[in-house]
Amino acid sequence: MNCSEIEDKLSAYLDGLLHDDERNNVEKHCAECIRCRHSLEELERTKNILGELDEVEPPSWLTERVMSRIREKEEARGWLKRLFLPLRVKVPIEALAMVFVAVLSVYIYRSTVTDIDRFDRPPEGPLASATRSVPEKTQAARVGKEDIEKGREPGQKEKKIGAPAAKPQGPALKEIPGPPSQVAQQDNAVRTETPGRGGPPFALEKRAVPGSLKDERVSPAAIPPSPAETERFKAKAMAAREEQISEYRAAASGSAQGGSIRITVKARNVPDTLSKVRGIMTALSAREVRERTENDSTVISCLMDPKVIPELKDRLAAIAPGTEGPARSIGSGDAAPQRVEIVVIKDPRDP
Amino acid sequence: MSNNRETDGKGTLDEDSRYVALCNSGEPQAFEVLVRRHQKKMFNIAYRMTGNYDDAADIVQDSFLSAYKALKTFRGEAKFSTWLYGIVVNHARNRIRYTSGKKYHEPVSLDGDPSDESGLKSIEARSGDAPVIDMLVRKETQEKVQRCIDRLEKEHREILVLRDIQGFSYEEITVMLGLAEGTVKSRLSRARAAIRESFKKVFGDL
Repeated sequence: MNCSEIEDKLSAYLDGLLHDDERNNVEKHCAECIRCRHSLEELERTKNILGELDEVEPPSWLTERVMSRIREKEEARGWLKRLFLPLRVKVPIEALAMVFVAVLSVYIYRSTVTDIDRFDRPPEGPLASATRSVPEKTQAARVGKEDIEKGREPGQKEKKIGAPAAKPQGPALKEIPGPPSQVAQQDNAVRTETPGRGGPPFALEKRAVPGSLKDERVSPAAIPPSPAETERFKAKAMAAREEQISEYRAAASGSAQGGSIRITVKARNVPDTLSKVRGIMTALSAREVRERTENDSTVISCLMDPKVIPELKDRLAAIAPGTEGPARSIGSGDAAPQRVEIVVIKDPRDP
Repeated sequence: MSNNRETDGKGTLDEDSRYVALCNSGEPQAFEVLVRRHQKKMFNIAYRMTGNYDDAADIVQDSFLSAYKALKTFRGEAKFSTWLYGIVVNHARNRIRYTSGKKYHEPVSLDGDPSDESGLKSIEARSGDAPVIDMLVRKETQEKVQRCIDRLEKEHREILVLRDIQGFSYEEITVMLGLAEGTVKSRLSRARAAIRESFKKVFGDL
């Protein structure tokens, strides 16, 4: 062993940690090497100096200070314990919390479902408004009709007029014709109000009603008495009414669904027409195509590029001459896909 | 060498465990016994590591509080005292690190008031009837030794305090510092060599 190796072992030698042979080597080397022996002596002296350091007395208040801090901590913890740990308090609090969470969940769920229902339900409100406004507009027509269709009881008429509030496409509505002037005015009034994207359908109603009412009140005197003319007026009125209803529905649907276009297709052969409509939609790259049944009609809705909507209307008109839709495409200038609803109904003129 | 090794005896160890169990069963008063029993050694570890009396008092308080909070985690794998001293070493280490940016130890004039903050007022006189001159020389020597310790690296300082001043065994030191025994041996060897050189500068030839 050289001096460097011995130097490394001196500390362990002092602590008596070396094995016998190592210890013998160190002792033998130090006996011969003055430098290493001196180093060992210095190290021993160093160790003794450190070991001879007196102990320092801690401050007399130390124990009390420590215990006081511990007591403070215990008191704080004890207060919390008293509040929460006894089961007589903890369990009821937990139970109340559970009930509260459950009630809150049910409340949130119900309010959410109500909102969803409001959007999923067929656009009842505007339609009801539309049908409510229809009798007002046709007050004069009714007078005329009473003259034409004698033998009907007034009560029956009231019932039929009131009933379509929920079902605007019912027969009672179809049986309410108006005189030509009134029909034309109604037609114009409604047509000028193309449902805008998300526009309020009620505005449409308000603007459409007054003008027509004014004219209607003066129109009964001009009703043609001949049966042929009556039949013609009746047919025109029916067509106008159906168009009006589909416009209203489109408006209502637009407000609820963010501006959709509703096109009514009157089909002689409904299944065949449906099949053709599906084909057209596929050809025009319609997306999210869904079908549902509303009363006696089938509604196919889809998302479609606004640019192809005129073509869609043309194609639908080709397969069903009675196709009716808005005068212009809603948001046709937009690049965003447009929601289109195609209502296929049985053509009432078809025998 | 310090003479309060009795706390490491087996009887005390068993009593420590008993008081620990009492504390854990909801009797915090039992902790006072443990504080009284170990505070002096803890204080000396902290004082020798930091060289500052007030800091040592703070460190010991914090260490006891930490120990009290963690008492339930003490599983008795090591002696309670070893566990406790490990906590105080850790707190002292943190304090040194915290104050390392500052000038930590103010130089103490030997001509100054002996009852200043250097901790000399608390040093026990070895013998009540020792001549005053001997006491002063002894105080001076001890102060110089402490200054030599303060100049050491943190790792060397703590291992010298634990082994050569407090007299803990290698096994205890490995537990307190979380080091392997070989590391403790080599570090202690380097620490002793370092302080020897420091002593030689302060005292001349040893």
